[in-house]
Amino acid sequence: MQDIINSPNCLCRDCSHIWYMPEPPKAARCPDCNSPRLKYHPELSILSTAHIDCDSFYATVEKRDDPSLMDKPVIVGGGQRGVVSAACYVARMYGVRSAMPMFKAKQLCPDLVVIRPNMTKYSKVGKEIRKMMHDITPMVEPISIDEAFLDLSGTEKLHKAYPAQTLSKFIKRIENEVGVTASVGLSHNKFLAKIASDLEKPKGFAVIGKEETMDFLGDKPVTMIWGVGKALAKTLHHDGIEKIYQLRTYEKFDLMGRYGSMGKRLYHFCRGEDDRSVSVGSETKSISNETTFNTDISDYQTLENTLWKLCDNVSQRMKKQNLAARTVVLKLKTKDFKQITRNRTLIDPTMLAEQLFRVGKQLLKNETDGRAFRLLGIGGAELVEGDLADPIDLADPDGQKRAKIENTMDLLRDKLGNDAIIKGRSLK
Amino acid sequence: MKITIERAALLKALNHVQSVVERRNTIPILSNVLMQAQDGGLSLTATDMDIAIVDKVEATVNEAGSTTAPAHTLYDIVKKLPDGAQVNLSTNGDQLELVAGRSQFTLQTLPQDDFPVMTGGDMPTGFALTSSEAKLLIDKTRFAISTEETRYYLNGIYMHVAEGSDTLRAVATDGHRLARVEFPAPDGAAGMPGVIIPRKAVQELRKLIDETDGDISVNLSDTKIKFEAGATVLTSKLIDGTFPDYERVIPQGNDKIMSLDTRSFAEAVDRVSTIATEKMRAVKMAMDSGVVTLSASSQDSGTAVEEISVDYANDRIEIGFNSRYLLDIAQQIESGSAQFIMADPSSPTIVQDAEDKSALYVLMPMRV
Amino acid sequence: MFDEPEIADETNVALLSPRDSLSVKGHEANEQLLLDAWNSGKLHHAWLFTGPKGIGKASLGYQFARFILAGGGEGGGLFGDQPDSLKISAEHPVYRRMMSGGHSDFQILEKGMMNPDTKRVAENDIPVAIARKAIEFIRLTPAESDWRVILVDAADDLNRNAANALLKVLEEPPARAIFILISHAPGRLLPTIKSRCRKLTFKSIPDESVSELLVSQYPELGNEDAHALARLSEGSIGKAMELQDNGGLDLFRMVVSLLSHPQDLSLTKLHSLADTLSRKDAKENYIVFRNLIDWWFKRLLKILAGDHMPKPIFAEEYMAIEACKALMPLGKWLEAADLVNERLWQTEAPSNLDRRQVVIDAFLTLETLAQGR
Repeated sequence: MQDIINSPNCLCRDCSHIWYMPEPPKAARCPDCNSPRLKYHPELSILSTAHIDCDSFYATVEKRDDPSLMDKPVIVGGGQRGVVSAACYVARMYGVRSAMPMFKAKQLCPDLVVIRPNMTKYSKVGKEIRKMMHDITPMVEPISIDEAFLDLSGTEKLHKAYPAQTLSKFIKRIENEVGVTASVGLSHNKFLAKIASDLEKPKGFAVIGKEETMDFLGDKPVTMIWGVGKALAKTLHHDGIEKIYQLRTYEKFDLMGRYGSMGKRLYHFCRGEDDRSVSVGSETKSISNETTFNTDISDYQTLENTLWKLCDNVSQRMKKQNLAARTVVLKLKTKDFKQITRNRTLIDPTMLAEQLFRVGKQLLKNETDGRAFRLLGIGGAELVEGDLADPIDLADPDGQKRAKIENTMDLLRDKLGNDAIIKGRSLK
Repeated sequence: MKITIERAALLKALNHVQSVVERRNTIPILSNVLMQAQDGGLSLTATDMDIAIVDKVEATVNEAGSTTAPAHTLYDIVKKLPDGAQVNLSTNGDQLELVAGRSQFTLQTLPQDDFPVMTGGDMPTGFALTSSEAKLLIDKTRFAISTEETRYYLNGIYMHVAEGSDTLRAVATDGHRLARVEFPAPDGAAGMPGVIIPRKAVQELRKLIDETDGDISVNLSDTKIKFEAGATVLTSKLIDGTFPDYERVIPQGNDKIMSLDTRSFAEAVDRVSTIATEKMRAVKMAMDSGVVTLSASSQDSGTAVEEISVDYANDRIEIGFNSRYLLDIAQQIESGSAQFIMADPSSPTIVQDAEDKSALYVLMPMRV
Repeated sequence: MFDEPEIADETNVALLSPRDSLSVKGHEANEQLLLDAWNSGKLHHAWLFTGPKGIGKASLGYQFARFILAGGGEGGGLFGDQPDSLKISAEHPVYRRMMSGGHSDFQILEKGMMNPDTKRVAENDIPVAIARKAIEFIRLTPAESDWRVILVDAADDLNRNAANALLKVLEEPPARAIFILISHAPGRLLPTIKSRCRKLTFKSIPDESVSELLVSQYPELGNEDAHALARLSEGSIGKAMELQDNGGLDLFRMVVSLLSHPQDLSLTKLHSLADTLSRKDAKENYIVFRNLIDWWFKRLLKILAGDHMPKPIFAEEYMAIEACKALMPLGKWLEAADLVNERLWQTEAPSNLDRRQVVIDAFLTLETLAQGR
């Protein structure tokens, strides 16, 4: 790393000035604005992959709109028997976390202020922020309403500043113009950038350089690897693997043999290698869900019932991201592993489970000719803004009614939890 | 068959009917026009099997009879004959001989029995429309006819007598906009079955109305409709489907009324929508006391904003619309003043001609 | 009151194509089934006629269509009884207009129609644009009759998109609309289409019926020859007529005569055969000949493989079969069949050899093989 010797390695978080310090600052101040908020890292001038993650987004937005809530423990979530969608940092101090059931949150913090979610508002704010992201680089890959990967490589000439500086300015801009705070994770790939953004929340600016990657990851738990959930973690623990460094002793084929497709990822990620590029322009290309059956199924009714559950899931996810699909895609795999995909483009984009199901059913009917299938999937593709979804159709007087019913059910679900309302179909 | 007929009259009739004949027909009989001579006149019929047009012309009938001959060829021949020529037509075996002055033609014919029969049958409902009523029915609604083939029952104009009222109505919709026009039902219309007149028939009918000032007599059953205007009769099949219950989508309780000058509104919409792209043709209308602000924006082209004065005294409201649909409806309003009757940004809006309440338009908003 | 003489009607018709056939022999049971369905007042909207090619499926299809469009025909007594036959006389206006293509409530779908989108003739299948026209047709009311009928001859020719388009209407048909689908190979049809149709199976008609029909069609045909043709066409009247129109029986006789001594071919006979087939107007004949050879080899191979001996077309054929059996084993005949068939196809691209040459060459090749060289 000869080329970074003498390169700027210290950033002022307030004025985004960057300069060279021969050694890590102890009580130093920014030579330009005298701020003590500095970030020092030897690779500051060369790292360009970032993950931006807004700090408890929903709660922050609500606090922004009602300053009286500033210092209160605020959560955004469902009613009495629902769950916490977002908890502000004050609430977190009490131990409240997102996905926690409401009653528990109230136990931990009796003075909790509960605000009902307002998705339209959040999605609007998310849009604003994304637009600002596009102002600093075209390589923006949104992951959800308040998170995105940014690739700033090559933007030095444009901004006449290092990516680290550009990011710092960006964060300031969001704070000033949108009124929300966010944390930055800066590194040399997506995997590490995402880990980094979590390290110093809220209003964090964390950096993981190439040099330190192996050491940094070494003794971290395997669950830090993106994609390792409870189930896989359990399996790994069973095999005696609890820390990332332990994975390094296995060959790639071993890992793939033991843990399937995740094995490949484990192999690379435990070494801090991630060659995924920030995928440009595409907001999520499609949202889908599929299921593989334990035994091959040819009975239409059984397939239809499964289809409904899949549509429900996809619809929920689309609604969460405020996306609507123009095209419905049905995926089937026969017992001989032959894959069949069928699509239908809709007149108007939809995010309703009912619509996905109606179309999916038609596509499914055409293929159920006695063949047995091992996999069934449904997806919404050609995604557009959720605002364009399911417009009023003057030629379909019942359409509005169906949409209303589904919306009511969604609200009830938010209130009472996912299991409380199961449409008759799912009961089969 | 042996007749003598004036060129101009024959040409006019041929012109009328041949528009229905498809060019390059693979079915020979459909390329032909049916000619029936009797009682001092010649009937010419052409069809594409969905629509049939019959035109009657005066002729000297020396020998009654009928035959069929290639429509376009016949038309081309007659067109090229000199003005004022007297055309003699006679059948000879399976040929048709045409003699006019010193020109002689023979055309191959096909027997009458091979020709489609569409004009017969019982049509229990009958009434008459004035030329202007017929024009109203079509002109006010046809722009909203759907062209989308999956919802075939929207590919026409739904004509019916409104339930519980005495008005004859025509409705068309494509799901995004709806047009409804009505006037007092003429005698004989009461109890008629609601019929969906296919778009092609609407087009031909409109042409027909243009050529006549007199009344149009309408006869229909639940499978066919027949329009008679002057010496021409247009018969058409109907769309075999159920038109949606449109009454349910016409909002009843819209309370925000805005009146504006149609022309300046249309021009402003047109200007502002130059910014709009193919994908997003949305124009936002922000209504405030006495003024509406039209705006459009697109990532690639930029933004456009324009204000116009209007008569509006209600709460501030912002609704988005498809610019194309706004313009279409504005064009329908003949008087200088249009009325928008709105509820909220996600509900349908009613648009009407302030001076002519016979037509009502419903426009679906776009979320902007 | 008086029964119209059947034979008289049939001889008035020049060509016995499915569209024209006035009454269809040999499928009386199916005819009755359709009649009963009509009379029950609950006629199912979609029918699938299956069975080997050329045995009269489309003919019955047209007949049924005519019957429906004529509102139940004219059979039946004076007192408005139910019709007792699907027959519609040639004089009936429905008949004429269906023949001329001028019946506004009837739509046929078949290979070789003009594709409205590409403005070209779709030689080899039924494309989706044509299926769509049919769907548009069925979405409009009938103009002459109370019913609409769509006849698909054959459903096997529908391309995938056309089949799917048709499926939608089959699932949600309008009232008083009938679909008649003809299929020679129902195994390949979309199961979802099949499930929406009532199936009517057609079996090959007995040789007797075929020869009767042949005699009535070709009055100059002797009984013996008619029987031979019937056997040769294996119960398919369509195939029998094609053979007759192309001198198939004579060609077959020539072939049989040659094949009585495959190892020692009569050059005179061979050249005579080649001459017949190389005439300018013999293109169709050649194709029939080639198909005959193919068919006969398959027949021979089945016999050699131990299949029971079928009824010989005529005595000489039996002798030819015996001679071939004695000459070479199954394996060699397999080889021979392949070689001969391959040679006979060299009249097509890319070789484009001339027929005379090809025929002589093919048989000489066989002779060489038969001689063990």
